[in-house]
Amino acid sequence: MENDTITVTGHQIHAAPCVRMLARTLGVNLAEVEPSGLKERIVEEDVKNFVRHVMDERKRKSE
Amino acid sequence: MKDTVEIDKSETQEWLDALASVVDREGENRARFLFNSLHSYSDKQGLNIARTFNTAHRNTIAVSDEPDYPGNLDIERKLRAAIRWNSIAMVVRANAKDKSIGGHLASYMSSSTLYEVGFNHFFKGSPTRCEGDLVYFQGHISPGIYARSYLEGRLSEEQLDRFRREVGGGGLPSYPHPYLMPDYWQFSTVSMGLGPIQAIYQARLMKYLHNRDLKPLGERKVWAFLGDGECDEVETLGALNLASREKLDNLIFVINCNLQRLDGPVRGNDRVMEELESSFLGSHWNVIKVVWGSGWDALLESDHDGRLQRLMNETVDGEYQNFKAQGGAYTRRHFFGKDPELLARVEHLSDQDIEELTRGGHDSLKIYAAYQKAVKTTNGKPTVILAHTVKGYGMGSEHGEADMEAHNIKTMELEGLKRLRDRFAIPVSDEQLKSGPMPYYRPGNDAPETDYLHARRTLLGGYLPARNTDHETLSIPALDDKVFTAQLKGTGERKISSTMAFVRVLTGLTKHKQLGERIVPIIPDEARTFGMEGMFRQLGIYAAGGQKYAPVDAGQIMYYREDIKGQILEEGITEAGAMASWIAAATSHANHGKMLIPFYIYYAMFGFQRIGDLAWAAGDMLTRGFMVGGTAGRTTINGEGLQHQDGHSHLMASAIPNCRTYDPTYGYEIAVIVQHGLKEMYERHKECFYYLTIMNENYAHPAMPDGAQEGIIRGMYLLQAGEDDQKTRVQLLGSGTILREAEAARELLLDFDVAADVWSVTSFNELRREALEYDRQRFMKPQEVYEKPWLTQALENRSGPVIAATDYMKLYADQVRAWVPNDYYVLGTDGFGRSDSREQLRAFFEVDRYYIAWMALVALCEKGEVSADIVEQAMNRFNIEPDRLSPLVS
Repeated sequence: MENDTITVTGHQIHAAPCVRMLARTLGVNLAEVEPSGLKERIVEEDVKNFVRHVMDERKRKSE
Repeated sequence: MKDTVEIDKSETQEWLDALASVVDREGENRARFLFNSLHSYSDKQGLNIARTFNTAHRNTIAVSDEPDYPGNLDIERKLRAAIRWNSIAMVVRANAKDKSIGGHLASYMSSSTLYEVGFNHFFKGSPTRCEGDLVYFQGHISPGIYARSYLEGRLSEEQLDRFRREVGGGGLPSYPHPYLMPDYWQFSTVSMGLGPIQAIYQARLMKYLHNRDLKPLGERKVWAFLGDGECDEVETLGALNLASREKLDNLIFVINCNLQRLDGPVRGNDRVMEELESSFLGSHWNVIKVVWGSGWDALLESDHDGRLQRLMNETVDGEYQNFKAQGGAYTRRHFFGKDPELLARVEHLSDQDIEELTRGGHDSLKIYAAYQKAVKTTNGKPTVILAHTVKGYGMGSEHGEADMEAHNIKTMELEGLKRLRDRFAIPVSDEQLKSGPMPYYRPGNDAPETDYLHARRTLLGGYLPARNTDHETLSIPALDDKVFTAQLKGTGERKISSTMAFVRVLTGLTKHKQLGERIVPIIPDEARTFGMEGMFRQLGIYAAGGQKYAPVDAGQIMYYREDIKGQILEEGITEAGAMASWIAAATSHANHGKMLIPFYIYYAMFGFQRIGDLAWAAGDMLTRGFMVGGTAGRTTINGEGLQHQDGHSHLMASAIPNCRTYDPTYGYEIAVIVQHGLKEMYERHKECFYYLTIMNENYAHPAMPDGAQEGIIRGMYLLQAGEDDQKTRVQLLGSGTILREAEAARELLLDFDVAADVWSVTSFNELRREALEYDRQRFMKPQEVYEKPWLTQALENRSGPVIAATDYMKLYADQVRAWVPNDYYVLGTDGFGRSDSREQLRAFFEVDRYYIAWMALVALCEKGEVSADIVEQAMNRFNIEPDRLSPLVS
């Protein structure tokens, strides 16, 4: 019953627990990630693409 | 426990968010699929991640899913108030006259709303009393049901005043008893546990009737109301799996969880609702919890951090009881006060407001939502509603509400009555309360409540409870019908058991044109022991889902055939279940308007000894049918030993006033008894049922002697007259297989020049009952002349001492001693049984031919008719050992 103290907040974002963990580890806000899965589900690749995109942007800016 | 401690909130959050997103985007079904996949993965990996069979301590139905209430809440509240008032008045008035009368107030007070929502919106009645719902009312709340019938005009004030005062007629029984109110009560629901198991098998019988095209089920439901404390009876929860296995979606249990039984809390240190929820979920029932009333909705809605829910989940029943007994201020301090944040959340509520935060089982809206869901759910499962209530609800915390002794309260002081009157707004003055007995209150005929009450019941088809007493009459074939004639002719040289003779009669009945489809053979396993396996194929074993496999014996003539239209109820190893099943079938005429003829065939030892209370209730419920104790007789079922050898079931059966019992020996006796029983019950409508014992010993069965028929029914007849030319005579009485030992003893006695008349005593119980009535008449009106008891008439013109021997305790034959017109000696099988050959056992229990013959000679010696030398001679010849220990103590 311990879970009763945690309330669900992020149900606007559709993603599996492993994807959420990945996002948390990388400090990614899932709200900014473009979903590619069925019914707008964010998949692992989407998070990776997002990070790659941000890194590319930074590289481009610093050049 | 380690696994309930939160060690990584963000990880937990991810899983919950993920699940929430699946529900949100893909729906509940997809979420369930994922859950099941997780479970099957963990099963495959051999992980011990148990499924939980519990939900949080809150209502199953969300506030947003509650339907609109279709009734007038204000009028229904007034009706409930009047019913509660009168239910108390009848108990209080009865006990004012005589404090020993007793009665229970608190159970109905806690369940009033549960019943009233049912009466106003769900329980269907019918003009024939055989088409509507079947409601098993929890026994202790009967005053509330009488009080409702009073408002309906079905019971008068005079009748209410005769609650628990039944002698002389017209009274109201303490609990539901069809025997005492045959046009009112349908089901005996006390003692506790009998109601729920009967309800399960009733719901199954209705499916059986439907599937066999005997009576369509339609929308009919079985409602069983029971208490949380009652769930500790094994009968209550013992058959839950049958209900789900048989897909009894026509069955609804409503458990009044008032958390108390007579002595104290049901589960002081735990939550009984949680325990019951997991039991029912584990048995694949739908579980609907009605925990909190509408007053809690706002508090729970704003419980964003789950603190309140956690507190609810952790509070034990002993505390919950205390909150209601001690009131609002106490609840604020000791419930909400456990968490400063929660204390702040109820700051705006007064103590009175807190006291009035009700439990779900007192809230019509919540109950209606639950009943509606139960009635509409069509997933093939039975449903249980767990309703959280307060024992003695409405009586006031100083006058019994949630009090430790609430169950035993049957009187109320003036102050308590005043408070009750104010709470229920009953128009009765202080003067009226002070001056006389607590007055009844019935709203006038033109009051809106009265209109409403009748309108609701009219809409739902009629008033409840009501039992049908207009039964169909069956035409029973005469004894010369082919069903019976084979048995009357005997078997010649052929040796068969009385069980086989019985099975032949039963088979004949199943083939009879008019009666065949009404025969319901019920067996708790062991059909093969009784040689009934042939019926498996002929009649089929009832199986709601048909047969989904090829039985291993498919190629054989008598294979195990299961069929949705099967006639046999093969109950498996549950005597309580099989007996409940028999009761349902044996009352089908009263509840379904369809007369059935059920035969319950079982191991005699596991009959009355094991299901005695159900058998007593069967008598109360005016059952009609046959109970057949197989492998009977202490020495006859020889190999099975102490726990299996029945030597007393006839004595137990004799305790039930409307149970007629027989211990036949020969096939023609069985035919006569069964034919007579059928005629009595189904043609002449005698309110009785039959118990007969059948045995597994093989012997030749003679043809019926001329003129034996009446004696077979009344309890004894002359089987074999002794030689006329002998002056020295004895009378030998025997029953069951031991009758044959008496016949053999007759031969032995010829060597001693003693003639013996041999009597078959088919029922010592029937002989005694008749004789008792004879005595009673004689004492009542000594001036009149009465015909002597059958037993006395039979023996009074015969000379010689009388020796009786049976395979039962000596008391069985001894019970007629007062009416035996000569010296009387009894042999029987007192003591624990044990395994050995029949010969050894009969010698051990001293009931064999040698003991019978020797006893006859001893009896004659005592009369001076034979010499002591002869007795000694016999002792040596028969190997009688005078120094051996009595079987009673060895």
